[in-house]
Amino acid sequence: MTDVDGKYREELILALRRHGLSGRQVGEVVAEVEAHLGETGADPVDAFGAPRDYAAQVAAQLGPGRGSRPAPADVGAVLAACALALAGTSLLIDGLTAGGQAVTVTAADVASLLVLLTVLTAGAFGLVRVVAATTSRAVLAAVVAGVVLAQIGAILLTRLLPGDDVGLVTLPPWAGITLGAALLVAMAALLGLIRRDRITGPWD
Amino acid sequence: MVLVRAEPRGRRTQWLRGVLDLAVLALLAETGEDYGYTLLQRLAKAGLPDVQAGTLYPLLNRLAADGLVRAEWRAGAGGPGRKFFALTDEGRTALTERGAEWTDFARNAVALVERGMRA
Repeated sequence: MTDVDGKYREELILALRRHGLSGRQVGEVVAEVEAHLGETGADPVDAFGAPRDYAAQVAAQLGPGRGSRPAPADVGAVLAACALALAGTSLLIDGLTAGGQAVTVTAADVASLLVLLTVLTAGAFGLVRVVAATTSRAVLAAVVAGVVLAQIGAILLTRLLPGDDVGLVTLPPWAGITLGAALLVAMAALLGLIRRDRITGPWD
Repeated sequence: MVLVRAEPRGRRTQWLRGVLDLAVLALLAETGEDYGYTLLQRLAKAGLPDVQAGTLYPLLNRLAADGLVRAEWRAGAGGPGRKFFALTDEGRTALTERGAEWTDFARNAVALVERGMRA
């Protein structure tokens, strides 16, 4: 495939993902396009149309059950991953900065985490869909690192909020660190599960 | 008046929408199986030259999802792999039943247009 075809391929993959096609279905469609172009030497846009238009046509032919809305399981998985990332990062930061003092989870912690969760989930959903569409481990690692850094910044900002004084749970520092790390490991495992729906061609 | 103003190619595209699935099933009935590129060539040779790959492949996959054709990837000899499509028994039945409906419809349409042209 030439560079131009590589660009077409990437745009087609993203467009198909936006229509909710599985990794297997995306791989099948891409293989068909590549096989046809490899045999005919045709220009991809001339033969199949713009990637977005072709993806819409593929999705339409697959039927009404394959729309542009994400599956509920996908939304739930991303929501859970964001919740685990936020709670884990927060506990880990508290445990590491406690200076030997007990880690206290306050009502303000919970409230701010819920607000952050809502905001981050909306942004992270599209991000995870894009990551799932790629096959690059480097891209996945960079995105996960970026999300974690963004969450650390957001959590530190919430520390500036007033009224952070109603303790709900008190933990020793080591328990906060351990629990935070465990939640982050669970988040990584969940992201791995999401990514299992990776693109596979007919020869995989 | 859309039909009257439509360009010839646009008009043929509208006609094709109604018969392309039957045309593909008919081609597969003739040879048993085939793959996308040669199906496009055969459609053109049969007088239906305006079918694009971007129209044919989604249609073939819908026919496969409906159980009317069976799809199978095979490795190419030194070239890209090919996805072959073969008519199933269900597809042959659909071709027989819907084909009869289509030919009745087309025959009536042709008769009507020819009467108008002679009038």
